[in-house]
Amino acid sequence: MASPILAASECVAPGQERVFECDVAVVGTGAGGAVAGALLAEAGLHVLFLEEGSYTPTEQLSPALSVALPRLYRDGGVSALVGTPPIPFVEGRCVGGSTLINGGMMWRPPVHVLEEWARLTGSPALGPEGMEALFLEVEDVVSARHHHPLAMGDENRLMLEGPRRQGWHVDINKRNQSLCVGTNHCVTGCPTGAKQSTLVTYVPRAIAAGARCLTETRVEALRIDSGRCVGVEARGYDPRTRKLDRRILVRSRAVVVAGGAVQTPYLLLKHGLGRPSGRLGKNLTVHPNAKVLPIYPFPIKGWQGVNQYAQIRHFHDEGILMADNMIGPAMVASHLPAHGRAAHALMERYDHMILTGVLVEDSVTGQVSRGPFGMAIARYDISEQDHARFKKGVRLLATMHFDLGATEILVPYAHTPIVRSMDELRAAEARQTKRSTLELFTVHLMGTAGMGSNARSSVTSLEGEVWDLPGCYVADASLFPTAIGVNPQLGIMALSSRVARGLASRLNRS
Amino acid sequence: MVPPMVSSPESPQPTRERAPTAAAASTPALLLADRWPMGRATERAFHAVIVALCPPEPVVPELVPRIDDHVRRLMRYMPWPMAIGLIAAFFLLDWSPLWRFQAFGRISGRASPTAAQAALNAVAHSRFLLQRTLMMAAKGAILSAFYDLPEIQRALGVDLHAHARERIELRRRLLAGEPTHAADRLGRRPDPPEMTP
Repeated sequence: MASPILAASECVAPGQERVFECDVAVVGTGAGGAVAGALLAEAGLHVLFLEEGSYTPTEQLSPALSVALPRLYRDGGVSALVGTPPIPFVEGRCVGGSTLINGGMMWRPPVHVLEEWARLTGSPALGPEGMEALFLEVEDVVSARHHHPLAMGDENRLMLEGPRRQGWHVDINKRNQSLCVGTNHCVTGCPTGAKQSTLVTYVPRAIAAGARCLTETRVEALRIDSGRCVGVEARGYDPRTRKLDRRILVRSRAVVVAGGAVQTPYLLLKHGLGRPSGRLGKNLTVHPNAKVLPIYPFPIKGWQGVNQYAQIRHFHDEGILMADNMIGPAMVASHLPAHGRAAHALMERYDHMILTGVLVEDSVTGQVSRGPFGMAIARYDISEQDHARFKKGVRLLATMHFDLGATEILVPYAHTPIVRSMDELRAAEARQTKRSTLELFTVHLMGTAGMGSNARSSVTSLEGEVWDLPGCYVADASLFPTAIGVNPQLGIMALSSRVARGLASRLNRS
Repeated sequence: MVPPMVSSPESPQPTRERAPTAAAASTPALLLADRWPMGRATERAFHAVIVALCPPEPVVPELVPRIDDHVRRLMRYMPWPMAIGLIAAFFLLDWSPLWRFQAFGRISGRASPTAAQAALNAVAHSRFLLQRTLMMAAKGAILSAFYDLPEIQRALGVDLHAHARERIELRRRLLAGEPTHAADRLGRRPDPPEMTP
């Protein structure tokens, strides 16, 4: 490879096949893959990343959705979980993965979650003390810290003022940023380079240590020889037609799969793995979210400032988190309960809006399976308990916004999407009886290849190795034994570090 | 350290270059795919739904071709069953007056955009999830393209690109240790006491 980061179309001709050799093939460059690849490369191993999305350096990132959706988002941003209700989800498909398009939260999994992981797996290494050093290391690398005051906008100030009036506890987020200046383009890729996504942290480290990256390359199968994983089979996209028209074979001593909690089990299921426990693809948790979009009588310019400055954690014991997450007008418009003139009447007040949301901890789990036409099918149905918690969370946020002076609020109820008073909200809530009319979305998918100490109850070992396929490792949110109730980025990076260190040590010994 | 080995005969020999940055602008990865091919009938239905879903004002030059271009390029990045599903949604929405027993015509045959919008409104507020999903898919694709247009954003008082340029410059100044100015502060509301953690 002439350059360390190349698209498949730049090094393999249409209809041709090319073979690569390396020590470790790493599938994905997001929070899991990039961290693993960097640590493996720095341990002296030859690493080849295989990334399905494209490479967009910071100076090429654009707030225009016409650019960001195809370059950065899986399926152009149209992925959805099947179920009641259907839940749209987004994840990154680019060098940097979801770290390039997320809000940049750096929350450690709560102590009670880590204690549960330690109990479930029988390993103190996954407990609070066992994970401490990994969290500290990752937080240092990605600069997890609070913001410079100049980054803050009026949306952020309102989201502190509102909870204070209600007497609620708010935590100011640590984010992976270095001198964030409040561009609020996090979801289309930070154009300043301040957000410390893996695009600007772990991937360059890996490259500096000798790793190489093939982009626009979809891994479709593992190569298995004598019961051991010895590489991957992939196909490369034609950049103009998006047809997978060139073959890439990778021979390696080990494979790290880090495609996220949907794509990772999809790949592993192709080979019928996870037989001992039967849990591969199961235990999908998603942290479903519901939007609450108030319109104020004064301008807020929510599109300027920090994407997620603070979280309302007053109701965390009930599994409810609330936060702001303002996004550009094109994304807001696509979720409006109107079109034509009515949509524009709302959008004319875009400058007066704040996008806030309710996140509910999962009380149920879903499942990922292999569907027809090469598609992963993720099934998830929310429970009546979750439905009730969403209604409570929406009511709480609406109360806060009306107290702050909002005149209208868009709520996630299909039959009554706009309310103008608490009385109207109560009426809308009374009509909201079916889960199918609740409008949700999600960005946190986890748990489909959970780690553990027993092949009968988990998919991967505590080292991240798939129990029934030696040489194949998982290093992404699929590993989580349970949902964590907070943004998963830091947890993924920490577990991935653990998997990579162990793998490097084994490969360097053998 | 040796980079990954290449065995096929047509491959160039591996070299040891650093990661490309600005030079990558010329790489195929930064190009967008071609537009999804559509026949005349599909295009007619699609364009009718664009006109019915987009606000008639502000008036934008070349509105339909520009939204057509945005959506059809994006379709190349979707799994093909989803792209086909989107085309089916355009057809079904175009013919919705007929299958909802409202009229014998289709949206593309209606003279008035208001009548077309009203027809789609009925689908959007249907009690059936499938009908609402059709509208959600079409609306998501088309309205996001409409509000992605710079002149529409300017009409809303929003200039994402100018804001980004301004903040990139601010960050450069902060990194260089240069002084900041009152104008660098965002917003007008007073800072709440919790602001400094």
